Amino acid sequence: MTPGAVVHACGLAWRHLLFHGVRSAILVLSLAISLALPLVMQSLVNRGETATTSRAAVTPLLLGAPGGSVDLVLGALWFLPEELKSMRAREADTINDSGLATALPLSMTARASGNPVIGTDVGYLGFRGLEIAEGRAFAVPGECVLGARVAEAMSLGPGDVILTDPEGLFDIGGGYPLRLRITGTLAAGGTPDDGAVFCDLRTSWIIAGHGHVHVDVNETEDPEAVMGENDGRPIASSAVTPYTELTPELLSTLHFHGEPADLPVEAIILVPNDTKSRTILAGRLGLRDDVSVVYPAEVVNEVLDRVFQIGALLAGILVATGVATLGVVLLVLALSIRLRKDELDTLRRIGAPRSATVTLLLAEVVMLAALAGVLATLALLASSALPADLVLRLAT
Amino acid sequence: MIRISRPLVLLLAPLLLLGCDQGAPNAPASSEASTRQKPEIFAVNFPLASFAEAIGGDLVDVTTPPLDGSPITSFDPSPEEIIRIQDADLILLNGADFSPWTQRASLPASKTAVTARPFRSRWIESTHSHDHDHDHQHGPEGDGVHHHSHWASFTWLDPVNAREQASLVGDRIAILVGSDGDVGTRRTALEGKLDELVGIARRIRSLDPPTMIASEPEYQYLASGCGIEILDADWHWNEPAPHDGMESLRNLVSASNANLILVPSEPDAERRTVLEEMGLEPVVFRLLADPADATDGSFTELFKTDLENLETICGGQPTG
Repeated sequence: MTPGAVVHACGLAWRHLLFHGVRSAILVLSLAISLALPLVMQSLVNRGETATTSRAAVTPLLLGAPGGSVDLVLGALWFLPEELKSMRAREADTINDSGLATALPLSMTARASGNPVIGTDVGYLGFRGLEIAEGRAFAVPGECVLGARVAEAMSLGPGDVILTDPEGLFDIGGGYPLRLRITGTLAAGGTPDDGAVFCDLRTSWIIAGHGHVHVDVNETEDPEAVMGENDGRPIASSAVTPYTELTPELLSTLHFHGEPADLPVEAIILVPNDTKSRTILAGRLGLRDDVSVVYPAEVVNEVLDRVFQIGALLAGILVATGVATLGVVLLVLALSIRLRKDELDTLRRIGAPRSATVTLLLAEVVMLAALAGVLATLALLASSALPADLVLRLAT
Repeated sequence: MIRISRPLVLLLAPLLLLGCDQGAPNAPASSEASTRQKPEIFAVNFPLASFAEAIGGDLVDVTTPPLDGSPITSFDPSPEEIIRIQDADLILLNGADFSPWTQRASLPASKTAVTARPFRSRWIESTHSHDHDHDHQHGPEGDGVHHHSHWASFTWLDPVNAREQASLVGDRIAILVGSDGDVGTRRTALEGKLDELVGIARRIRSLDPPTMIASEPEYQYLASGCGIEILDADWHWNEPAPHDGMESLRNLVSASNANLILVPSEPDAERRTVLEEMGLEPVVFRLLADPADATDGSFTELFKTDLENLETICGGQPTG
């Protein structure tokens, strides 16, 4: 058969597919889905594994209140809204003073426009390798930096403000939303840090109502401000409301209800100085009942093992579905050939050799398969836009 | 003419669009390599800066708060200055309420050493609280009763504390530049000098020193370290008179029969006359908080001079 005859056969095949557009589209779609689903799922699992294990691997130890280790890891590393118990911030001071490790406390209860507000040590930014893309890091309570995704989605940058979410929509006695001054935005890193707002630990405590700034009730001229005295201590009336923005001028009046070291944090990332320090620290903390020390890499591996088991099962189901789909497609093609018996007889009678008929039918199958392959590839590429840790999030 | 059927177009279009949207996350930008030749140490006061220089030598650059003639206790950095301090390789803080700005600033804990924290149980509650208190409660039930405990903050005036603070500075510098060779030698030398100061303080304590009036409230640790009973005149030496007026000082003198007053710097002629009229002899003992004090020598040298002077006044015979 000459090349020209092949081209003609392909032309006829293409015309035939176009003429039966709906049927062709259904066949292409069926094949594409059968091909794309296992590929996309495998890709997501692989990317998820890389992303989750790498983030967990660079987080040597995690300290939290006793409770679920999976919740602690997901809350502290992925900022998922887990209900975590708290512990005292002095745990971080004690560990820093021990000289065995650097402790990075995390307070994760607040949110701003739905994004997690992470109160932490400014050293967290350096620990995660987060670069300031614009502006500067936070320097005092009331300031914050935005993750790249938050800054882009809300079109905010240095000099703007972001309002924290009230604790409860109908809680009229709840804390006041705080206006956080944005001092910088972080460069995108493709990690959960992109979707968070970072501020000083004390800012988180103020948002949670553990501290505030307001007028000095001893010096205010407002007669409604002071309602009496208790052992010489002025009793502030409800006319004295906390400020909703911590300006530099008001910071000198910042005070907390109790020792800051006794205020709550939900997790502490521990970065031991060396392997020996890590062993000593894990041993010491492991003996205590009031705290829980976990190795994030081990916890993530456990979660991923579960994901892989489910993934393997799902892959098997998808392959079986794919084989069944392929069978249906072949059946459709076989029926199609039978329906086209008259058309193929006509081709034979006007002198078309048997090879031309075979080429025509094969060309149709190849075209359908090629289109399905292109669609499956596009779907695979499109899936890369999904978060790398999607599988972990869905699995948990 | 090739014609593409509508169903096929509808099928391909969204996937083509999705395929075009790569949206791959950017890789994290690599951090800039530090251009500094030596590790930079920020020290919040003169004693800590002096310890860092004595131990680190020329291996480190020691900086202190930029002051424009004002005392170090009034330093209140802007956010931009705090960012510069964040960039230091080691940040030496005092603790015990020294420099209130450090309690508001966001400083990286991994690079920060609060040198008085190891002896937190020995911090002394300040007798000097006016101008700083804002004790109050919210509501009649006392919801949120909050008040500060203010600590006396010049911890280094007790040589035992100074020795512990220097020890912590030494530990942190060893982590920064290593503890071998000159660093170890210099640290041992400094510890020897501080041991000597501890010895002088013990000798003063054994002399049963007389009750003294303290012009500044910051002498509490000196009193504790040397076993001196002091009475606070609440007189900021840069102000013309004690906080409650000169009459309060007269009453204090007559009630205590004290005839020595600790002052941070040599009084001028007029002030000396006023003190003499009250029967008070000024005993200069520098507070040594400000880097400006460094012009006359290191912390240990200046402290030793003043301790020996105090020992002599208390009736002792300095051995140095």
